[in-house]
Amino acid sequence: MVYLLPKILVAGGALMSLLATLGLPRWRNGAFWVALVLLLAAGVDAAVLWQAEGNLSLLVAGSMIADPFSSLVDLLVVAAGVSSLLLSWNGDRYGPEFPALVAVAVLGMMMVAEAGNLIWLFLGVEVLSLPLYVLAASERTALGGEAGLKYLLLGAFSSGILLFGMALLYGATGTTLFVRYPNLPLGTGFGLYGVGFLLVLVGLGFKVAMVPFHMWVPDVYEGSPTPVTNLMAFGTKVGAAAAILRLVAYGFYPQAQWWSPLIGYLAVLTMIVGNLLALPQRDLKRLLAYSGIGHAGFLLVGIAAHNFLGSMAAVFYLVPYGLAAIGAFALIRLVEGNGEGVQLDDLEGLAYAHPWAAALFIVVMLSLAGIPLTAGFIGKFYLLQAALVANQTGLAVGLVVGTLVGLAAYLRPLQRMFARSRSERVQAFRWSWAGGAVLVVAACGTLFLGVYPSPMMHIVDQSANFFWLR
Amino acid sequence: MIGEYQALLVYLVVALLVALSMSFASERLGPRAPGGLKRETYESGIVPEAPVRYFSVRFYRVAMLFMIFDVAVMALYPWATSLRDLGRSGFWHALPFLAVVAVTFGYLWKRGGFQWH
Repeated sequence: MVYLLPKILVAGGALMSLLATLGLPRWRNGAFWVALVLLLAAGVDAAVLWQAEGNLSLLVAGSMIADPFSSLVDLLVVAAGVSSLLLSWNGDRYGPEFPALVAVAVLGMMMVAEAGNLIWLFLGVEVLSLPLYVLAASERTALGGEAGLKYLLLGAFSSGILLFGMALLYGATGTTLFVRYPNLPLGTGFGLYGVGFLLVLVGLGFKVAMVPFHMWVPDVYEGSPTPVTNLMAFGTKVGAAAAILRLVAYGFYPQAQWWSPLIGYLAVLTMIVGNLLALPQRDLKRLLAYSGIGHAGFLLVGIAAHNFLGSMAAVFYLVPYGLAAIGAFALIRLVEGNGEGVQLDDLEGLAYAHPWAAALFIVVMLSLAGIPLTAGFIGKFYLLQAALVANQTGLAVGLVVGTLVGLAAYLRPLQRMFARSRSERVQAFRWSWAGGAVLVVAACGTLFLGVYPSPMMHIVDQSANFFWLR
Repeated sequence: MIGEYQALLVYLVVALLVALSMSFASERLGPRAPGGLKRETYESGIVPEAPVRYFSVRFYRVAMLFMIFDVAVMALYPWATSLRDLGRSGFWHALPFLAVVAVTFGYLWKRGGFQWH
């Protein structure tokens, strides 16, 4: 019960925020504040639980795994939800239900990360996806409608594949509790069991934007309102990556000899394709979408490395990626104002019109690229170390090549920012307190983690300490 | 290896032939009477309100709401009939679920989800 409190707070936040939309017309932002306060309370509670939980405990016969890892993921997805809410400040155009839907999506992300049972995992994936389908189309523009429909269709498709894989797994093992799979006499080879696992991996690969299944990402990210894109880019990725990590860590570690190379190849493909396609983009949101695909590849490197360093590096990498993504979307939100979307050319002259915003934006973009003194560098460093310790040189080479290509992609917006334009494309925007706070916190966090990563490393060290790796 | 699956192969071929021949036959041999009543929108026996080319989105909304609350109520029937055996703790455990259903119901009501127009 104590362990469930963060989830109960988030679910309560969703319900109360829904009620608040009906409330007094004078209290216009009631739904926003209710959801924000309850999400923050859930975050505080998750942090308290992280300190209290020494080791893992199984709830409901192993369907829910309460350990520091799930508390850490809770914290991260709450951060994603809170940042999305803050970016939606004064966003009447997103509809009154926006905060409630964000809270429901956050609840789904929490459920996915703690699942020890395939049914719970599927339920979490659906709870996380359904609000996002609605949110993607919450702005009534042509692009928004396209984004919502595309996300709905491809999301339903991936859910079907996921469910099919789960059915095969159940057929092969006789239980949906994947924490029990290593104890069953399944052998280490490939079989019906392997096919089921692959299909589940495909289903989750859709959510995490792994490369053969990444087609929906740019269109959906571009068409969705910026706060929603922020939630998808950070929250969904955290949830899906945590689910994959949990699945391979608890259910499938005896079979690592065949899934580890497979995820490795996909990771290299994802890193290189994602970053290559980021190069020619003219829309900042599309660029960040492809960068999100590339970063999914970086996360998979840690999972494919299949050692303690790898799982630690993958979990650690979620933090720098999340901070940088939040910061970049906060800048988009500031620049776009009441419009929608930011072209790279719109950034011209930003460095002269708003030097502070430009400086903070530089920090988060350099972190995405992996320049030293930013958190992104530390994250990539640990991933590289994990790949080398696992003796997977191909992974390491792919990571370096992907980073190099990515650097070129991330420097393009910065170059536009310093361009002196004759036509003054960049419009003087007003800093909103919420968007500004998100940008400042993201950039400062990025710098702090880049200079002094040991506290975060300690936290990750405690959280990703899966028993199978010892 | 092949021997084991021979029956399956025969089954697949026969199924394919039957399906193809049936669709081909109905395409070629079936009577055709386009126009007339066939072009009217079928709305469960109700006279169409207007000459629509697509179903109104309202039908989908009604169907969806019916599904959601039907399933919710279905979960409550077993609870209600066995409440005596479940005792006090069974009663309290179902209340959060009821609260979720009630809040969403109230939300829908206030937002005009049950109004046709």
